[in-house]
Amino acid sequence: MADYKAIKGFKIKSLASDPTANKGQVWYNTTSDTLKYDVVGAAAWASGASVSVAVETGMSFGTSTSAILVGGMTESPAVAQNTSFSYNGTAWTEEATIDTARRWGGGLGASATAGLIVGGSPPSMALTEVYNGTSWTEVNPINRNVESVAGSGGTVTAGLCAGGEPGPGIQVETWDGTNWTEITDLNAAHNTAAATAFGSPTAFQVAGGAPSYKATSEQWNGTAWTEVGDLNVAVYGNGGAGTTTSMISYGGIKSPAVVVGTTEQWNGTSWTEIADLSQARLYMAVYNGTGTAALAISGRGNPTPNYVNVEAWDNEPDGVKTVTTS
Amino acid sequence: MANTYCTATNTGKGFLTHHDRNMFDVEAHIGDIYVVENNNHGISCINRVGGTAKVKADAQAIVDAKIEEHQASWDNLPEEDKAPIFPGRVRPEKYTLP
Repeated sequence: MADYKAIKGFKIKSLASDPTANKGQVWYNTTSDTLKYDVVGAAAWASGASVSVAVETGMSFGTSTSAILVGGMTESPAVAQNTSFSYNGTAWTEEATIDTARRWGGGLGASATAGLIVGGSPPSMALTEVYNGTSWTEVNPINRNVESVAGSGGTVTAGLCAGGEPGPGIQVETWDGTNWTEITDLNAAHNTAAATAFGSPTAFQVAGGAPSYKATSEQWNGTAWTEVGDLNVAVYGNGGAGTTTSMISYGGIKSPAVVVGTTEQWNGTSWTEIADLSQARLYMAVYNGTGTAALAISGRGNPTPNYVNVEAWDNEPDGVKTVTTS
Repeated sequence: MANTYCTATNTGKGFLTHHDRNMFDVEAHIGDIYVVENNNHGISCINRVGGTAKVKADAQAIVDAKIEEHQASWDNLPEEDKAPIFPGRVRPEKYTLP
């Protein structure tokens, strides 16, 4: 078998500690007895397994390898769905139906076996349904009828749902596993915006949204909403994932007939464009995933109809990795 | 960026990989049209997924025909099913492929 020197022309260095600033290098750490390399981060969307029903404005929660897709609206005829599907990173499986068909609600949950959906339409509703991996159960409703939420996120026991129509679009409620409680309003409406899917009642963020095409972003710290850095591209109907220190906003519509695939990354301070969806789209099923691994599920373009295709986000950060065998 | 054009069917996971997306630019358009950056990695991907190469004019014609279909569907929608109920949805407009 050829050795490293025969291939690369030099030997792998043996070092007592990991070096710094050595992107692309390989070395042997004699202290930990491990082969290591310093990877250059790469951020990209790849194709995921397609869904069986093309919907827009579906609801989602979970991670990129343990997600739920719920409801949504088919294109023609335009019918709200009561279906739910789970994704294990490889394939979609049909799960139990929800009690009330809907689209455009919020979704909260850390995995495909523990989450909830809230609100939706038509008509605008307050209903909340919890999923335990087997069945959906209706629980206490949110304190208003709401659709096209600014964002939702968290877990089945601690989450938040912000904004939405009808009304001024600024109302916010937290979920404690049993009840919804109204808290401080957003500074401005951000309907159908990106949001931190893995936010919490004390750390949450929305970005973009309607009315009009917004670039602004607001962050919640458990006490107050504060306007933070703007998106580079003003959109609504964009997807969102992550936390208040590592978030992405992807897709959306930036003018009446211009749908984009733009993906922007929030690092806790500012937004930076870092990649594009291969299929520009808006009104995807959100809110699932983290800033480094998420799903853009279905949605639609304009003029194109709803999509069945799914894209998976992977943003491997810069950093030192250990070579493992399996 | 020089582009090449093809039709291809998105087969789901593995159709476009993270490696692909880091090696070349690609855009999906209506009618299963893909605009792919014209480099070795892009061409290799088209071959791998069984894509059929198109000249730009033919790719544009496929996109135009699909948009015309959707324009006709839009025109046949009842007025109440248009923008007021579906925010952001407007009559499809033709556009030029990059």
